[in-house]
Amino acid sequence: MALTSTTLTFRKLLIIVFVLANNYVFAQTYLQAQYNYATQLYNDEQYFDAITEFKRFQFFDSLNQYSYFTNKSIAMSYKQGGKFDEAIYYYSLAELNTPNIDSLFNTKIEIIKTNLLRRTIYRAFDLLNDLNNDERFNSKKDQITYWKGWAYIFNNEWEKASEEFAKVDINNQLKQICANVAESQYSESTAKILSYILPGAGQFYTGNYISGILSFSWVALWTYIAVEAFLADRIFDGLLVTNFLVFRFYNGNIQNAENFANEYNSEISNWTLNYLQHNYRGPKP
Amino acid sequence: MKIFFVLFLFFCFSNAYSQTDWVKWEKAELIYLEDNGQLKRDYSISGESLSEATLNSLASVYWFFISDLDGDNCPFKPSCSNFFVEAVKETNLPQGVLIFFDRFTRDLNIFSRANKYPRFGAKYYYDPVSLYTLIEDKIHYLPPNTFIKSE
Amino acid sequence: MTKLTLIVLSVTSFVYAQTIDSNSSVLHRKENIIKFADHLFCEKDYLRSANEYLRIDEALRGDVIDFKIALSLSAIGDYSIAKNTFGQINESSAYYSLSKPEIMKIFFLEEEYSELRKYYSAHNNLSLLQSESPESKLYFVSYLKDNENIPSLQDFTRPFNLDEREEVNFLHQMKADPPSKSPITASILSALIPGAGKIYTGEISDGVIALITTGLFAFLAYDNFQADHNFRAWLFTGLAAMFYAGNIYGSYSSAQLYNARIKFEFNLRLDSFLKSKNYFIPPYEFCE
Repeated sequence: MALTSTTLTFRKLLIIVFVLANNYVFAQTYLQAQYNYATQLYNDEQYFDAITEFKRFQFFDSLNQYSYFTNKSIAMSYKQGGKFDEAIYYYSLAELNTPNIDSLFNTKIEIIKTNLLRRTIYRAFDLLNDLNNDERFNSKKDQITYWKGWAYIFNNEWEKASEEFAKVDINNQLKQICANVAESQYSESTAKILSYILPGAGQFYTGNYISGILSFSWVALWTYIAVEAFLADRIFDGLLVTNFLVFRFYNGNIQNAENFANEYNSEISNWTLNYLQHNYRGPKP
Repeated sequence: MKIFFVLFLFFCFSNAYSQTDWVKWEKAELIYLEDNGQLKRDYSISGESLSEATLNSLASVYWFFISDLDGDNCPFKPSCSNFFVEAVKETNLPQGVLIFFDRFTRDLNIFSRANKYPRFGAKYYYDPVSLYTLIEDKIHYLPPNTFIKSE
Repeated sequence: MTKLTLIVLSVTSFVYAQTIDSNSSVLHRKENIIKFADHLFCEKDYLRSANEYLRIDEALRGDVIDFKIALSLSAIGDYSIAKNTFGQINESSAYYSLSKPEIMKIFFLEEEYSELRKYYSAHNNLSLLQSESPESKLYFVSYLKDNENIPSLQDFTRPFNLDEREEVNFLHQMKADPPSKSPITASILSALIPGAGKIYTGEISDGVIALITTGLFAFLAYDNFQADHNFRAWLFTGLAAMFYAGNIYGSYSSAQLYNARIKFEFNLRLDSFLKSKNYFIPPYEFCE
């Protein structure tokens, strides 16, 4: 049978299309293999190399179909390496190309968590407020409240953290822990006021008895000398003693009360933060 | 609007960000704790020689009974008493005394500190002994508005 | 015949696709490595781009890639390996002449200033110092950093072009004749009038306070001697003497600090000048 020219061209086209299709499938196989390789490196905790491979994937993904996944993976690798600025940067890039509303919300939450780890807590609060006011996420108020509680924890406001966790679930374990911390901490203002009224009292309140006794003794001694000087009409001497000695020890006493209260409070905070980091099983930054 | 903001960040900072990757880094332990930066006094009464031990004990007594109780009065770090102890350790007693009196004079001068000394943390100015030992190689000059986090 | 070709084609591409594993995939072939490494280089991700280029077999690299590897390593701070890689570039290549100022820049950053000058003399005729080139400029600028005898102003500024000349003139002046204050003068002034030495070194408020303090204690000593309170009088005399001696010492060290400050500001100015001129090396055309 003689082949007409149209049949010949048709067959040539068929071959060309077939080879091109194979190449396309071919290329997709390569990208898939590259993505698997990069993810394997991430799972092996080789984060620096994982970032290299994800960047390679991004470079050859000429249609930019997978930019959400690559940017998110690069951000996660940076976060594991403790490089929080870069992590937030890549999470922001991922935010631009999310496939659906849920992943957009999750990316925003990841940015908030990284801000907490970076200790830029006020930025985290701003972002949480934005999320609260965003109507698209009205169904996720519970989650937003949960992370707001964590933000309060990192900002050392354990009382408020406990309230936030209570809104989520009245029997929450975190609510109990935060309430315990808030109770066992000293109130800084109480310590200061006690020290204003009676030098040494603030230090007694925080448990530093020796410091309290010494403070009280010094202030008492110099006040006695000052009063004696005024009564004996040696005004100039009296003024000198009052200014350089009485006020100095009195101010020192107030400062000490404040510092001791803060020291004790941060010890408790740090112990609790350590406990939460290693023993708490729920979602955490 | 947000896209423009992120793109702007991209063009500004894409170079700066790559700089963290100029050295290969490993996985980091994520820590929740925060550090306070409160320096604690060293109340030791031992030393290499008798004179040093005496100096250390006198300083410790002063710190325990007086300095701890009259609050933070020195705007410099190291504080004047600390400065005196270190000055005597690095040079000798007469020279240390002279360095201390010069430091006390500068302490009395409440004007124009911000234009002269670098800053240590939020509240203090940094003024180490090494600037005043008269040995030129030890002088590491730092300009006035630099911030120093720790020793 | 067509059916046979089709079957053969499909079978071979199928088999080929299945035998690929991720490591030897097409993205890790030489051309693609180079494309990706070029992209990383232009993004200033220098360690990664150097590592990528280094994955290519040494025999297949060529001088462009060797040059880029050396540039990346030099940017990160791996100076000795960068120097070696620059040195590996063949003399016949176009990049050889570009590598010489880069090597001199590395010597500069390593603070090996005499080595820098030796390298120049080893590879160039010294008469070339009068012509304008990155190497001759770096040669002269190296004198501003170490303590050798600095050449005269004429010779020094010859290789620089007109918009650089003013700054180079200024820097040469500052190095050859810095406006330093003498510590001895400061201490003598303070011995005559307490505080004068500190005013001389520019710390006017310190000097005034020192004068007031010493004067105050001297006055208190005199006053107490007049009122016959001997113990107090001797106490105040002692304190006045200590403040006086401390001020003399302080003026000496204050002059030293002044000179250290001048040196620091000079180095800062020189470093920012060099950075703004990119060490006199013209920009490359690797990234658009």
